[in-house]
Amino acid sequence: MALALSAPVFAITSQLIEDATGLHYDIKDADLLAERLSRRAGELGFDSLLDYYYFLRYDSGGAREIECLVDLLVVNETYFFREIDQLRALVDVIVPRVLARQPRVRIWCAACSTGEEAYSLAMLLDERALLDRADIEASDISARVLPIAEGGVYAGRSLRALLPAERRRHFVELNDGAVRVRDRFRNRIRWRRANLLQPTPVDDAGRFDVILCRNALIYFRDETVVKIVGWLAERLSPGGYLLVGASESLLRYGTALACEEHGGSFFYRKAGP
Amino acid sequence: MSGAVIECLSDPDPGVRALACDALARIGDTAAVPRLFGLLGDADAQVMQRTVAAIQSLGCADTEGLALRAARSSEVRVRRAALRILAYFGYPSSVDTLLGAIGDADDRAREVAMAGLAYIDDPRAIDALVGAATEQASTRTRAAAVRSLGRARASAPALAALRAGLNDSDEWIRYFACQALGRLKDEGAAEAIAALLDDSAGQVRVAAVETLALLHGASAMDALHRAAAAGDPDVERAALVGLGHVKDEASLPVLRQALLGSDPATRLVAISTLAEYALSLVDKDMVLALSDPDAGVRTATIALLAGRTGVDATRLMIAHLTDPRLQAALVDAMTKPVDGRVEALAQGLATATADTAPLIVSVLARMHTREATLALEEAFASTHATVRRAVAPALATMRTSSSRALLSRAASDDPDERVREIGAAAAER
Repeated sequence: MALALSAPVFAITSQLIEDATGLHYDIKDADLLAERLSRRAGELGFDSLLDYYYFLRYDSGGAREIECLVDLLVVNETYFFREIDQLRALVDVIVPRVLARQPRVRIWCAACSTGEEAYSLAMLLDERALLDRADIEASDISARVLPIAEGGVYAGRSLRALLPAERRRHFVELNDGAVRVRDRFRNRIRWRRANLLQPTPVDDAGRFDVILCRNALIYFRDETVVKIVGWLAERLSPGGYLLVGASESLLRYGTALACEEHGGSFFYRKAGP
Repeated sequence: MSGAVIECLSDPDPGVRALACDALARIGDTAAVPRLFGLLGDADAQVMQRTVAAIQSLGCADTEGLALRAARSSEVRVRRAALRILAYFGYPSSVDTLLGAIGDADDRAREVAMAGLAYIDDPRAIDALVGAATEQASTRTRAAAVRSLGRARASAPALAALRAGLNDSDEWIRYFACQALGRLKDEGAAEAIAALLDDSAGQVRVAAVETLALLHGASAMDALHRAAAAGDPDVERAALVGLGHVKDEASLPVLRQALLGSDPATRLVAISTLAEYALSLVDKDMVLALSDPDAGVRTATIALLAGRTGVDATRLMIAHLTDPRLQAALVDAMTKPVDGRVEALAQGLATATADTAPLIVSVLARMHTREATLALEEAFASTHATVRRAVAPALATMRTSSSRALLSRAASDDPDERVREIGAAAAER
């Protein structure tokens, strides 16, 4: 049973979460937030969400606890070959264009969740014999999902869009209907934890020709989206591309990136060659 | 049906097991209780929490014995869960078990036991809590004991232990001691609590503010007013919440000042607190908050207004229906049925404009209550064509015998051509 989350406590707690992670909760989401906070607060022995808030805010273990809380709050629902048309346009049009002017392409999946997107991209590149010329990095704010991504073992809903031939080609069958991504993909992706609001860990990674940040921006308020997109744009090489989810148009934010359409999908391009 | 659900308690998917617990609690079949006890040691924390909730919801003659037995389990998770169940039901037979659990090797089991003892009317319970608050080696356990004392009946030994807790070296013990003394209304501790307004730990400063609000004295109110402009956002917000507990009209200027501040979260707390007052005192503040630059504050204000009974809050919301930033949220919020809502909507509809009438009609139609439907049917008798034009399409979608009759009559008799057309179209369908 969820602990009570009054309007004032909702206000301060949701603000703390937003400051730390960018995740925005509207007051209409108060019941959902109360349920998730209660789960974590209960595990720690708190019987009041205000006490739990003060723990997050003031205790020496608060910063670490926020990281644990993030694991409960973020939505990790994704699957292989999600929004496949955009990925196909990326590997068929954008990547060959980049490789026409340089030997390798650097790609960053900036909100990789449990890894399906990064692996899907690697698989599509492999099908076009481009994987050996690609450097793929993948990151997520949740520390819990990265070992899952690195392990590469999937089952159930993650595989719902896979064709039988794709499953045979890219995965090894395990017991109980689970599969493991073939080693040639697992070895090609570098995983790391990164909070898009605290970009320091990725600053030293240099610039990327392509950044994917799909289906993550919907959880942020407009001002935060502007901030994140601006920072991602800085991480793009001149002429580099940013991909966002199909429902996440950046046009209304007035981004400096130019919108281009390829294969029916939209890409945001930084000025350059 | 419950047999099939009980089988789901063995499902390998923890999500299914958790849902099975919820379902059994709703079905109310106490035959499930023994099987539920088998899940107390479930490896999934969610399943365990839902299991405890289901057992607490169901209750039955067997629960006491099963819980007492489970409290002796060698598995720590089972003991914790069983103690939580015993604490919830407060069986007289469980006192010895709860007292014994204060010496449990597990921190959490000790905490659960102490939380339960707070509600048990037995002098041994208070003695044990006082002992734990002062003698336990673990600061976490002493903090839990202090917290529990705040929920027990006030007694001299308890108050003495709590006052001593205000000076403890551990910040959480000071925090819970402060809270506990506030709950127990120990006005004699006000001075010591006021000294904690400058504590090095943020949560203690905040707890001091909250406690002073509960103690209500003149010095406490002064301290709260000062804290509301302290510069530390959490202390300010806590002071605002505290002022809301007191609901003293003299605090309104402080709250209004906070509503004009630069921090949206503080403004949100301020409006939430102002909403605790009578609407006649704060209606202008609510209007101000409806035009706040922060969408979260605006949305919260709508939700606060929507939750209020009586016609005035609904009238205030209707008055803002033409604001495009608020329109959709207001319509959604007003569909929540509270006393006075339909009455105010009907009054608003009677004088609505061509812009607002369809919106008010939309609210009434989406409420799906008999009272709202009657209000629409009565509004269809309005002398204003604007109102009848707005109501007619809603009646057409309802397809009740009374709405059909009204539309059929309107198709031939209504003086307004558009209403006659809608009536005729509805009759054809």
